[in-house]
Amino acid sequence: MTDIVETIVNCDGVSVFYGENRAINNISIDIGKQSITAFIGPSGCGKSTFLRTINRMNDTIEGCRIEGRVTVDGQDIYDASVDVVPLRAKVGMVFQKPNPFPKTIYENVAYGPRIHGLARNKSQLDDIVEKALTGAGLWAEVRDRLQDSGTSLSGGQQQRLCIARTIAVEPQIILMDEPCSALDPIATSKIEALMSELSNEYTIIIVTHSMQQAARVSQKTAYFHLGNLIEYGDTKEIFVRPKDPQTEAYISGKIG
Amino acid sequence: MTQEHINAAFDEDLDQLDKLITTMGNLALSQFIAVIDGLSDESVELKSLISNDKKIDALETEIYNKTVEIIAIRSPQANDLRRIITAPKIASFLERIGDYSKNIIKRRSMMMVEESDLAILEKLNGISGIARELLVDVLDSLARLDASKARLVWEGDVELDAQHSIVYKRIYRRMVEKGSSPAEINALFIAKNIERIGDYCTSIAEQVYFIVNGEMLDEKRPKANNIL
Repeated sequence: MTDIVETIVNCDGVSVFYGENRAINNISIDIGKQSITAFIGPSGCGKSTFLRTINRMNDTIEGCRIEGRVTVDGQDIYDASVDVVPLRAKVGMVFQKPNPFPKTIYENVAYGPRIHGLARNKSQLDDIVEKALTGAGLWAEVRDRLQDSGTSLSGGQQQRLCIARTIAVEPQIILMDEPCSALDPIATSKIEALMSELSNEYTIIIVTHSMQQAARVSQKTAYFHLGNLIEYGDTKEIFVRPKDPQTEAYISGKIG
Repeated sequence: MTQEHINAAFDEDLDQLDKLITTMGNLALSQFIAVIDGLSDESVELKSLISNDKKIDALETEIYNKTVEIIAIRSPQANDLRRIITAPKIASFLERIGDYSKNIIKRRSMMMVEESDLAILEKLNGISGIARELLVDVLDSLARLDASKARLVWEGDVELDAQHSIVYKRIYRRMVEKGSSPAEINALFIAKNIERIGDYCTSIAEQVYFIVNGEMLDEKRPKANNIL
């Protein structure tokens, strides 16, 4: 297994409950800094739930309760003193369906830095917007139409706008929940190429149903089944010689 | 893997690929058995062996094309991927075995067997018997995906190497003592071809081991003190 150079997310004995129902069962995992980790598994296996524990998105679900410890960059994110607003800037999220605000392209990106006080003046904000759109591979396509509505863009462009919005607030980690499932193959390729570039600066964790996508973009893959972490290792190992028969059956498209 | 794919068409593709390899293996084996018979029986027809060889060549192409098609359409992973990716390699080893068999019978047809050459032929028969056993066993290990049996073939080639060395030395000594004749030169080639067939059996065995275990046999293969 390729060693994780530096751990940024450490989960220790994490269980998640929806009421009485245990959705995640005692999972421990280390995620390496500036790398791409893929979470795979059949629908309902808990991979999205687990992803959402890393920026406390499950807090918004009534009856959801977590046991165990999750640290990001050494900080226990479930500690009572933690403010979730800066946490969710530090651990950003991109969703399955592109969800730009019904505002201009410029405002979509500028909104976060403005509320987090990252810019002292308009010129600094302009710089942040340009840098984020460039980082998301969208600047060349929208530089002349920043005042157009974000929703006027194509699906793939909207998703890259959402990525720009996420990186504008200088996160350390970007969580992606099926970011390409609503996109065509060209837009998907662009997002995947972008993910590789972004991983030089950020840590990316992606939930995907596409085995090929997991194999193409990630260095590490974790296979989840029925709320358990079945296997976690180098992506190349998982897809060539998985150790667990359950992983083998899932990635080969066999009845498990 | 006994488990079936959710998409049954994938299993059909894999079955087709397996059938092509089995057919090719059987052809290579029957070709070699005919060659062994031909060593002591001059009536074996060269023509039929050559037409058999053409069928083997055509199957190699068919396996190659089927492999490309399955990879493009099914995006295989893990054990499936290993089975599929090794298919053209195994096909190419079988094609070489077919080719060496053909060459053996060509060389044999050039030999004018005299009484004094019978001893040489007997020796060649001996080593071809060992090669035949290796080929039968490796094809069986491939059909059953039996890594232990594949490993035995891989280790067993040492016996063929050792016997080949003995035959080679005998023929060589005769040539030194009595002067070389076309029969002896051809016999040397035949012996070498049989020894190479054994090597291809070990190469196939390595692929079987890889399919099952996901890693190559990384130890050093046992070797006889070969003179070549």
